[in-house]
Amino acid sequence: MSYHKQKIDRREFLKASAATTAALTIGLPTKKLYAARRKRAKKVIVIGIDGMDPVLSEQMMNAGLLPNFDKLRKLGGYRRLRTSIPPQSPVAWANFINGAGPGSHGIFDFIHRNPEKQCAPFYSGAPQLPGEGYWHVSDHKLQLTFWPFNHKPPQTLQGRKGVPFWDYLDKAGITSHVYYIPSNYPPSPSKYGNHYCFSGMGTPDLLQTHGTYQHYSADGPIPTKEPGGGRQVCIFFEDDTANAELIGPGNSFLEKPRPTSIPFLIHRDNRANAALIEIQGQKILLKQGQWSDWVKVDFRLAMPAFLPDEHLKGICRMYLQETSPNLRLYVSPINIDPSKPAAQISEPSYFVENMSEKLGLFHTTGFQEAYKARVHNVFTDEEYAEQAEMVWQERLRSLQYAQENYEDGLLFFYFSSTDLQAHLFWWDSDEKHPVRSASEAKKYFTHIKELYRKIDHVMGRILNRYGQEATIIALSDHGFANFGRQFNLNTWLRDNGYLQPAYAGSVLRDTDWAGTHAYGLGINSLYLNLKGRERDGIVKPGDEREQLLQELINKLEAVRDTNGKQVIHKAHRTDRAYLGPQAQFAPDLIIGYSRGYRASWATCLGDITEEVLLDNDSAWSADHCADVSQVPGVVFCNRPIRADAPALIDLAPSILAEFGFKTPSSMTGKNLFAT
Amino acid sequence: MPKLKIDSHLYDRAKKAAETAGYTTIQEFVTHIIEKELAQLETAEQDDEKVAQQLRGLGYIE
Repeated sequence: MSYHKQKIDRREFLKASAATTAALTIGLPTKKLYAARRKRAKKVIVIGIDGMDPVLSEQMMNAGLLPNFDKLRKLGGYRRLRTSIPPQSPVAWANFINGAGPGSHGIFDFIHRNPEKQCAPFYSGAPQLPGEGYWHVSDHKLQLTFWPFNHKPPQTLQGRKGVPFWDYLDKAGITSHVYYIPSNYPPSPSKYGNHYCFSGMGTPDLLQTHGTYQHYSADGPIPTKEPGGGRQVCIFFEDDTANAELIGPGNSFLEKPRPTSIPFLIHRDNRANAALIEIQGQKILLKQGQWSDWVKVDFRLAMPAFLPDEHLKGICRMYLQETSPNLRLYVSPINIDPSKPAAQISEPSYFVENMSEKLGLFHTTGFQEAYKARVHNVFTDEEYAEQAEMVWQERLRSLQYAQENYEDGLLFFYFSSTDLQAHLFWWDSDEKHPVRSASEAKKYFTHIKELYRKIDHVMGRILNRYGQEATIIALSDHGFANFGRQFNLNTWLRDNGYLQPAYAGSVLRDTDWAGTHAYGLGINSLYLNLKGRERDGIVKPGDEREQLLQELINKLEAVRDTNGKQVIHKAHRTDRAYLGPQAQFAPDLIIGYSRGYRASWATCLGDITEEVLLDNDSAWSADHCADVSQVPGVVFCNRPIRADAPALIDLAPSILAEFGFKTPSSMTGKNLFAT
Repeated sequence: MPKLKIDSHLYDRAKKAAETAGYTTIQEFVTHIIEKELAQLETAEQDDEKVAQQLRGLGYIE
């Protein structure tokens, strides 16, 4: 997630150092018209509905609550859809994109690790390569990409390998428009100019995180707290005015990068229940409970004296939660400004600028719902629901834009709401909810049902508009399940003697690798400490590895909760589950949890807790990172589906078949419309 | 001041390298090498923690 703001090419260097008033322009190509039009192609419209669950969908269809989806079901266009191993969105959508499994695309979990550094974790979707070579000047380090310096700027790589299905359309001159799809940041390049996409899940905010909110409160913590995904600050009022600071991206031109910041003022008016925010010459008046429109912010990156300063532009929204007794102001993650993007978030880069010309400003981070604010108890359930509704409304406007700019070829459009609202509001049993009373749990599950009805309504409009002329497919990547109990894999490995020392508290910090045979990192991944692969590996490939894998599978699948329930439905050997060149980089086992269970919060980044099994106490009370068999997705179509048990990997060959292509050799899926 | 023991062959090699590189003493050379290595390791630790903090921003991890 780098903005490549450390490099300067020769022309820029000469121009900038000769006239400091001249602005540096880095990176993005100028706007141009869309590729010249060609003969009309068929229309295929695919709607991605993240996390749409088959059990709830079927119940609601049976009750007549999803009439449009039910109409497709009655035409033979509905099946439960087999998901990926594991059923995590980046893995599942990559299965969809490649028409093949993780052995093809190499995404196995949200989190991967670098075995050369033993187990250093990184985000699998967009790994980073550090820059090479700097020109050190005063307290700055600059990268000069021209001869004789030829410094290499840092790079954000596309973690997904293999061939995305739209590449075949691109080559054949068939246009594809793809909006918000996960596992596509940095956006997939188009070799022939027929592929247009706006990246989705995985796209960073301006701070290069997955979305960091900033919360200013008169009763905030001292010192400032920075839980992952948030920053909580105490502010002090003098004569009803408080000084505050909006933290921006780090200035990576500095030898010791420091975050940039923008000072701003908060004036409160308790009698009017309002506050005035003054930031960079803008005055934003908010009543209690009111959200601002998008606010443009400009962070200055100080440069050496002979060069003009750099700037990174972002957008955020402010929400005045309360004026008294304690003023509380929430500032959303600072999104990349779509009208002037600081990083490439679409292909071609002007695609998102065109969207912005029509739609104004909108979210660009991959995760847009403010789940961290809810999980950190900065937001109430109601506030989260209101913010998530704003995301939904914004997405509907984007869908309208997508339809208005679609003529033929492929249109893919993705909805996140069904996933990121379900994580917080799904609860489909009478068992005790982690944080809500039974009546509150029921109330918010009804909210999810309402959301399904809204999706059904959207589907109805699409069917009415395009049903006669297009193949229309709707699919989800996985279903949903309650998340009531959490399992700490690393504690279990330690307590069973596979991870040393016996008092270890963290895989990353205090493991004795000379005595460790296996460790967990990520949500579903278990790795052996394999000799020749891990830096300090001790398990010998061959018989020792085989014996250890079987022993771990037997013991893990035998784990029972205090009430006798099986915790792990199946532990999958990836050398048997995955096919393809990337399989060699996979974890050794994928832990498939039973419904109701998931990896513990702590174990994902290697932390070891006292207990192996414990209650989930988070508002994030539903999940899908279970076994592949436990959380299937759905697929709907306005033509009959012939395959009995279709899988995510079958969609890409099916879409290509609609355009007259045979299934390419890069895919292992099959056309679900064929007998 | 603490003292360290190193292999005599390694000491000879280090002494030769220090002279070639223009260090006044082998002590100065060894101190420089250790400081450089430590700075790298400490930066790597900070980088790992920065990455971990970013990953905690995912909803799936706290």
